[in-house]
Amino acid sequence: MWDETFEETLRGFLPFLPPGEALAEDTPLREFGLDSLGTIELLGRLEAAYDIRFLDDALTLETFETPAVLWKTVSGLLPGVQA
Amino acid sequence: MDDTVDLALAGRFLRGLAKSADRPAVRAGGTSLTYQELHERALLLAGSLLAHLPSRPAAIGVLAGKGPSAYASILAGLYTGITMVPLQPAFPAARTRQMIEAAGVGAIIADDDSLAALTGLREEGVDLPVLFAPGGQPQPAVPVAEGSALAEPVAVRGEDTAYVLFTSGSTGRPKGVPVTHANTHHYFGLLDERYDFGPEDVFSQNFDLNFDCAMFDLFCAWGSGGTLVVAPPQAYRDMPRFIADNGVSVWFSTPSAIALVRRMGGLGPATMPSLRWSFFAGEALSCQDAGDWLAAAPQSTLENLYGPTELTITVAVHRWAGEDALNGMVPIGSVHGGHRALLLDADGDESAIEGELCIAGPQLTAGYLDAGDDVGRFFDRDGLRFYRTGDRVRRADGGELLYLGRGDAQVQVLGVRVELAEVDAAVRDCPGVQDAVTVAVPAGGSVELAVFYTGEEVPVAQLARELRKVLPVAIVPKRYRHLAEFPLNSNRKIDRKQLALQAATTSE
Repeated sequence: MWDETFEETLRGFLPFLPPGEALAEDTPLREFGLDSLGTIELLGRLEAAYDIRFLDDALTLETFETPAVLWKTVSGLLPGVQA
Repeated sequence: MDDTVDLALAGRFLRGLAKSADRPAVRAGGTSLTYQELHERALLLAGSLLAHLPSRPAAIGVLAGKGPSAYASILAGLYTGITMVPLQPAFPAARTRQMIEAAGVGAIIADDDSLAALTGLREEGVDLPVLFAPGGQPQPAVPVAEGSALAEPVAVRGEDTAYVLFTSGSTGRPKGVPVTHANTHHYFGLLDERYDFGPEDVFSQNFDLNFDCAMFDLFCAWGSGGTLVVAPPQAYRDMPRFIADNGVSVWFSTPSAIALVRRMGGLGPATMPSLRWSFFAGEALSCQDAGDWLAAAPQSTLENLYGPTELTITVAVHRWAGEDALNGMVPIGSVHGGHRALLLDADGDESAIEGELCIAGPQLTAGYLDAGDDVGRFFDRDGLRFYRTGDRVRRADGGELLYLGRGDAQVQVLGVRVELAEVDAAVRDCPGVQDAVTVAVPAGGSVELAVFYTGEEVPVAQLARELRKVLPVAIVPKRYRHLAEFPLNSNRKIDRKQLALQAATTSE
């Protein structure tokens, strides 16, 4: 499961997710308001927060489909962490 | 008939072809196409379509995203000599179907990435001949026939419609704006005199192809024999790198792009030294944003371009070099040569100083596709037909126009023109909703839309999902608030000002 930084950062890009509602592994991010420009900004925020760099190949719609998939990509880039 | 080619919008591509046959006309998604390659592809697609159709339709739709095949598709649409209607594959099928019907589209050229859009249109009941080169789509297929390539683009007359674009309509259905070859001929003739673009120039291509600023991108680049480079969304992650890697020299975007590049850390001192020209259009440009951009692109000349689709792409321009301006906003500037501008005050009288900007001249559309939409938007004076832009402006001492705001409920969301009434109508159609009021709230240098609605309380994601079926995603509101009833003003009407204030003060 992801950490608090990830949860907070991601929620900022989901305008349609009510504050009290939990972010599930399979929450469809697009349905909850993540658009294409939001995707790019979110990427930048995650790169800055975790000091990582996404490969261009990771910039696909699939990577940003659900919190679980996105966290897998993020955690896979962290040093010493196995996704 | 050679003089007709000069007037044609596609004639600008032929001019670039004569200068730069073996140079790249467009680079997109890792693919580069030379002028010769793009020309031959467009002749083949246009010829294949015309050979297949028993008669000439009123219009041809072109489903074009931003992949490499989108550009040959647009050019092929123009090469047929028939009115072209650029259609956005990412738009809801129901909306695209409305456009197809309104413009009398009788056949479609679809780019190679349009399969999902074609499937959606089929489900919406659209049944038209479609040229889709990869094959395997659900509409009646038009084959690419190698023997059918045109020898040259079909000739057109100045009064023929080059393209029809749709803008948001307050009636709840999009309004079609026909633009003729004579309109674009005047426009690009002025641009040719004003700018020094050449074959060495590399032009950004940020605008979607169903938005008229994209015509500036394409036909400035192609008219000069330069190269068009498509900026994908991920380029915004590091725009200075994208610009440097591609040698971009001419930039054109909405002002919102400046804020985005800034948020992504791209606006430092001289981070974009290759830019010679920087253009912005589509929404109001602040001096702050313009100044930050110039610091990052110090070799570039910056211009604010202004104009509604009805006046052919842009119709006024201001070159900004860092001076202060009214309300901290870059002026709209001077109206293009050959046009007449007048300002109407609230009583409909002409004012020398301030009022609604009305323009007559060679870039003005003859009227909307549906003459019913013309009501209240055009008027005749001194033997000229004027268009009421709805924009309130002030005339400065030197004659330059300063932008004050809108006189009605039209807003620009990230450069996309929206009639709030259209969004109201779409929300009202959502299951559970009784009535709805949409307001615009300032956000991040642009505006975002907030909806207040009555009826049952509906989960936000569900409302947004319903709206995405009928509205382009860019104008689907970001915020929703359920109310038991709307506040009323002293006239017993819904108090929109009160709601706008409420939305603005509850924003993050």
